[in-house]
Amino acid sequence: MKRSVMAAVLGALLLLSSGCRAGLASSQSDFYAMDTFMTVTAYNQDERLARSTQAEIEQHINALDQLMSRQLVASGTAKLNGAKGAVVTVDPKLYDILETAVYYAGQTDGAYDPTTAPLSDLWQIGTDYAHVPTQEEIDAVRKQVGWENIHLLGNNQVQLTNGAQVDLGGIGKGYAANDAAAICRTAGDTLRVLAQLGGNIIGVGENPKSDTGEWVIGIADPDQPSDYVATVAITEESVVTSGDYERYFEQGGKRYHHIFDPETGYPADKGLRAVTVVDADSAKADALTTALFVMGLERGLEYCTAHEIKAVFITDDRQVIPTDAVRVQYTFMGAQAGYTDGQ
Amino acid sequence: MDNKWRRGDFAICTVVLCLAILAAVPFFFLSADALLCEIRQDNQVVHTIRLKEGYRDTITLERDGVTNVIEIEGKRVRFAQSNCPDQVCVRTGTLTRAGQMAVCLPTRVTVRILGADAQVDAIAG
Amino acid sequence: MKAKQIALCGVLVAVALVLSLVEKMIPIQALVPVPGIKLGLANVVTVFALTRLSLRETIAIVLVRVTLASVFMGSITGFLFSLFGSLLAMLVMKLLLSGLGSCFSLMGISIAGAAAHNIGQIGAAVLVLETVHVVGYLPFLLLVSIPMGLVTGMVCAAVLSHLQRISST
Repeated sequence: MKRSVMAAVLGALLLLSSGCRAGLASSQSDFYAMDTFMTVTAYNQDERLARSTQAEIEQHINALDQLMSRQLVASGTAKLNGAKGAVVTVDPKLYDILETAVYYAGQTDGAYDPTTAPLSDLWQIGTDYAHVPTQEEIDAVRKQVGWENIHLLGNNQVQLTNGAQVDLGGIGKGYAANDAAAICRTAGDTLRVLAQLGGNIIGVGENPKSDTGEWVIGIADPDQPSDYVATVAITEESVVTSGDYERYFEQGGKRYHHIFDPETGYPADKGLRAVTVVDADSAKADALTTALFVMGLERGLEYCTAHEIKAVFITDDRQVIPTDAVRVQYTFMGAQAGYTDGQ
Repeated sequence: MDNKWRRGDFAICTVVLCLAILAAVPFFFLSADALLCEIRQDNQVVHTIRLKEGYRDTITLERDGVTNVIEIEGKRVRFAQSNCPDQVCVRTGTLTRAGQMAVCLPTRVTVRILGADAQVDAIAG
Repeated sequence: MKAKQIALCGVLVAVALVLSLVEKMIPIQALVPVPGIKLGLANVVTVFALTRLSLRETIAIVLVRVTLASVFMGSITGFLFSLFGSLLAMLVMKLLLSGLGSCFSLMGISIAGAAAHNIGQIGAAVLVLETVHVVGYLPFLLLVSIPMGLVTGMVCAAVLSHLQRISST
């Protein structure tokens, strides 16, 4: 009698505990760095490990920001930009980031360009002083733009020629996301983390809240960014979105956003609203979203096919178009919001 | 010592089981469609609001001269007004489903909808 | 007599501490991820103390045990959880012990104690962590308290009957 009661209770307990997979401690921490909002959600049996890893990520990203920020006078980037063409020895980390940036600029034939800083300064988008400059102003500034003007001389020595000014905003968050993932992996293989650094999202380990272990990431609706028009399911991958709706202003009924076409000196205007790239390497995904946005749909799709890039394009005429490589992970959900499935 | 199972022991077990069920009851009610709105400023939770039909509230948060007005109307939450230069928070639009969030960078305010049935873990945008 | 009781108190505290250590090895955190939550194995000492010693001495044992256990291996939050849990368990068991033999067995009383321990812990967690979220773990902990109480009750009864045999010879 007693035994049967005990057996029943133990059985019930086992059932309960097997249903308790979501019982991992989660802790979510918001912070602000690299001019954007970041949040790290960590799941682990030991909450202390989750919290200490979050703190480590935050610290590391702040340190990266100290190197990369153009606004901080003491940053490596600011010193490099202020060197007036002289050779500068930079921090090895900054050198590595510059190498990454220059690599993807070359890969994308300059569609991603880490030297569009003078254009951003001229247009001042995202500030109260945003305005459309004159063509003369744009032409003058455009001479300074060109990733070939970054000379990586080895031994952490860098030289900027032709008045080039570096802006690592297009790759910094991706680079930081890669580092964040590396920190999580070193911290222990029981740790599962979803990090959102601005438009860069990276998932490390299996999602404890889903049966498949995948993290489901929505792709924002450009007209209503709180909502999403499609989802991608990822494990050990990063999702990066860039769009014309993040920072922009309107003048004369036209929208001017923050992703510049280095060719024209104007915000890229090739019929796209947003581009999302899915890749294990978040820095690559980060650079490619900008590059594909600048290339436009046709050239962008060609590039993706040639390089097997997982990407999702959202066009002006409300089509959501995934590339072949991303389809198995991709679900279209934008019908209600008036988008068409461009598969 | 005599340690036979007695009638009172059954009563104790019954009471404990009843308490267990009682403690679980609110969570069944809370389940699937319950939505919680969590508002943080500088990573500190400043408001946690259960969203339900007919509920209305306006929350004002401020930092460095920038003011956000967050409006809650039933199960809809949005940044109704902000005098920040980028207006990203207002443009994000209305939040209605678990998993959605809106952020105002200048005031460091985040508004999240939490709920068990979130269909996405995050939104890239 | 007095010295013997003091010695017994010391031995009981030591046993309770060992049980706290054993408890630490059980990965309850995997199921109830609230740092500081314990199963309450040390309740076996409280039951024993309540039957052999006075209430004052039992309270002293509980206080010393809880303090030392958290000094040795715990945090301050864990201390508060154990304190609330252990004292509530002791109170409930003291009340029920009046019916020992007639209405309840030691097992039933231990089950009630284990349940009270868990209610106390979660109550403290609600106050300390300022969230009612942790109450979600209570149903599970209450279910666990039935087998836990059974085990501690049986252990306690076995020890007591041995002691009785020793003292009667």
